[in-house]
Amino acid sequence: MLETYAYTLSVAIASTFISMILGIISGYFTSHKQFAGRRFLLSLSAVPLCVPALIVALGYVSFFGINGTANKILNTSSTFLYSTFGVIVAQGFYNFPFVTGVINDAWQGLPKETENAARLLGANEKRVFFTITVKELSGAIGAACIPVFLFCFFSFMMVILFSPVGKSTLEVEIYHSIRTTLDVGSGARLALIETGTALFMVFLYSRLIKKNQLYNSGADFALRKGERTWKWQEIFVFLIMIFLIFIFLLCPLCSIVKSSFTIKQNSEKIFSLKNYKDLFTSVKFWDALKTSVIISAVSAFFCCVVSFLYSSFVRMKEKQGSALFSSIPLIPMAISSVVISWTASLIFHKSNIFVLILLQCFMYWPLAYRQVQNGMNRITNETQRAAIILSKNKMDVLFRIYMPSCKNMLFSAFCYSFAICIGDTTMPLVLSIKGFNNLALYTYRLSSSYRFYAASTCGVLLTVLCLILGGMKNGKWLGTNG
Amino acid sequence: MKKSYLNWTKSVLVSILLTLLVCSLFGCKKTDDKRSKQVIIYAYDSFSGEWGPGPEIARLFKEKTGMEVIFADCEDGGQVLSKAILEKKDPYADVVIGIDNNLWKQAYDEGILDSFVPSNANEVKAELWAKLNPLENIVTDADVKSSKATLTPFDFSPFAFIFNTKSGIEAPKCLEDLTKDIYAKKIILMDPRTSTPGLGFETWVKTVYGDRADDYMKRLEPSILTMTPGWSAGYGMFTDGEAPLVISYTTSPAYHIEYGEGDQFQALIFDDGHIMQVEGAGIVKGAKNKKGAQAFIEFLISPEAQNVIPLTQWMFPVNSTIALPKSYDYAPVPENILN
Repeated sequence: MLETYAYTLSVAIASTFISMILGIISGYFTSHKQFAGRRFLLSLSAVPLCVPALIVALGYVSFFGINGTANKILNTSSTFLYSTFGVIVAQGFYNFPFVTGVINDAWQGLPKETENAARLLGANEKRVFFTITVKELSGAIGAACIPVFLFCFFSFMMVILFSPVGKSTLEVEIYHSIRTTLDVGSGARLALIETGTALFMVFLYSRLIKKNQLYNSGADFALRKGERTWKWQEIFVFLIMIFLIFIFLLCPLCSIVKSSFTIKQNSEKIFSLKNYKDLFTSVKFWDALKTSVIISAVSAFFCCVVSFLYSSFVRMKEKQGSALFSSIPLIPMAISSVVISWTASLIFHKSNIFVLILLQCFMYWPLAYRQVQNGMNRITNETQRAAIILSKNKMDVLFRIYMPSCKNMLFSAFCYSFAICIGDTTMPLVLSIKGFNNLALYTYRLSSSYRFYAASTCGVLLTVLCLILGGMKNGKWLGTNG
Repeated sequence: MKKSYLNWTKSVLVSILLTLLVCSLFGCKKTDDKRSKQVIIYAYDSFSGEWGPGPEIARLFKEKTGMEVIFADCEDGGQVLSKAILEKKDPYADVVIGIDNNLWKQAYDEGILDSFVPSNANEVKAELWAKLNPLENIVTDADVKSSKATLTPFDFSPFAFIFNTKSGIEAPKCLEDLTKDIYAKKIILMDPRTSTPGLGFETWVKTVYGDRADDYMKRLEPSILTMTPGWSAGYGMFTDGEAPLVISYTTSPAYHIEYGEGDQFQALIFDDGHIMQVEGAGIVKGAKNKKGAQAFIEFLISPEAQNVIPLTQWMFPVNSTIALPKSYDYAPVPENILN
């Protein structure tokens, strides 16, 4: 068990490190420069949370596998994907867009005055970066990396698929205990260890976002605008970064697109629109899409309501610096979806769509909260105190100060939560809601019925939806300054 | 005016949240009359999904009996079983589908199923009944009728390695062949902790090798490319050409033939013999609609329902009167079944 714990932890830490390095570098370019594809890069931040893991894994296999495109082009038979290194690279590159999004927001909001003052006093760029920028960004870096760590820590599909034979993760052992051997005691002990580790990381996260808020709160100054001038060193690093992103993220995702246009006839793969045609003419597909949209919209709405109300409460009481109030929204992140779904099935024997909405709201409101918090942080304490003094009651402050300040962020939070809910497969499966079918389940069922290329088609549609929704920022689609 | 608007907004928000909570806890109540016309079934989602046999069987059942079948989808047979166990004291489902000959003991030990032998039980071979109800000592058709069987078999298929004939390597003839160097990183298995075919392969190895099973798995390790969490990932990688061998069922090639994908993938019959998976359906103890459950189980093994199985479930139907489609010519049945 110690070996499994150590393996789970080490893979998660290593994957997070890759995401962090790439996220910081790409966050620098998205926050400081204007370039073609900048908005697309930022919109990728929702993809890790939305696209079913099975589809992503098959995409990596399709590109990096033994019979994959990369090996065919290079005329090799490398099995690098099927190793711990392969797992780390796949997870690291797949999750880095999330880090990019957070770093971009934070870096754009950092005041230039401190950096400019340091330059005036004779500090070179390297010194400015390491003594001022990194320190100011440390909160955001931690705030971005710890959720990525948790995603990797709870990861199931990619780790098991690509790890060397015999390796296991805590999540697999929990799954095995509670689902196969029905050894609830053992499963509960493992869940405790897993959740305990995650809670420790969440606690660390709460300290770091508190730090981030100190540097970003009450930010009345203008956000940085992207520059069009480039130094040759920046161009060099940028090109390497783009190359790595293209190879290790975009190509696997494009492999999914390629599979969606593939059918097999007489043992040969051929290009065809048949998968799309079959999908769009299927009544069940449209039912699944309709259900997905309605349920996800309702779940996203409640995520926004809960996150706004909590955020307002914290702001009103001026408890942004409190460790307790910072930690509460993070607790759901410390619980894996296998554990939460199993617990839910113990409590709610007869699940229905309301249970699903309740669970999705519980699990995903922290992600909406992060977006709303950015809006709340723009309100200075002085503005708030003046509003409280001059308003008839506190509800006035809520609806006349907070809501208008956050309305764009609320819209972004809604879109982001909607994208995550629409891609959720685990909870609907474990809850076993009678007669229920959503897009994620539909994709899963396609792959369970030998229809792998059709499953890729569904995966592509989910990805496109997530890219559009996840790219909403400040009420605009991938607008500048956000 | 503004105060009343804010109060109203606050009230609406609180009401919505309370409604959500109440609905979650209590769901929707059904009248007894409506419930007696419904049969609620826990089944794994490839059975009840759009391409599985569930929808068509449900339609035919409703035509015949007027009763509506409602499926509550579970991820796999394991989840079907664990849900039924969790709800032992107040069961929601009437029927559970997907408990196979690896899970029967857990179902038996937990006492979650009622015994029931349908009137048309003899349309199914006694040996299939025996595999799902080993404690009933079933040998003949008469034994079936007099038994207290709790699981009714509805489909079966032997486990086998599916081989890509265009891979350029020689097909293995037995389990031991798989340990040869020419098969290094050429096999896709499923994790037995998370997948039924994975568990089936583990059982196969234990049956053939007995005490030497662990030693065999150590020698097999260099040949394994990956152990996937589920069948979908493993078979998907196999069809993508990632490895020439994958553990699946002898019936898998029939799918590719039926849909014009060619005969590239073939099921290998090993000299060691094969393990068979038999899937069953059972009536939940304390089911709210026991009569409906009994009628469904009887219908499930009737020719009408069994005719749906081959081209949707891609397993062999248990009813011996069913004529198999032409594509099943490519689905061999091993002579030597070990379990």
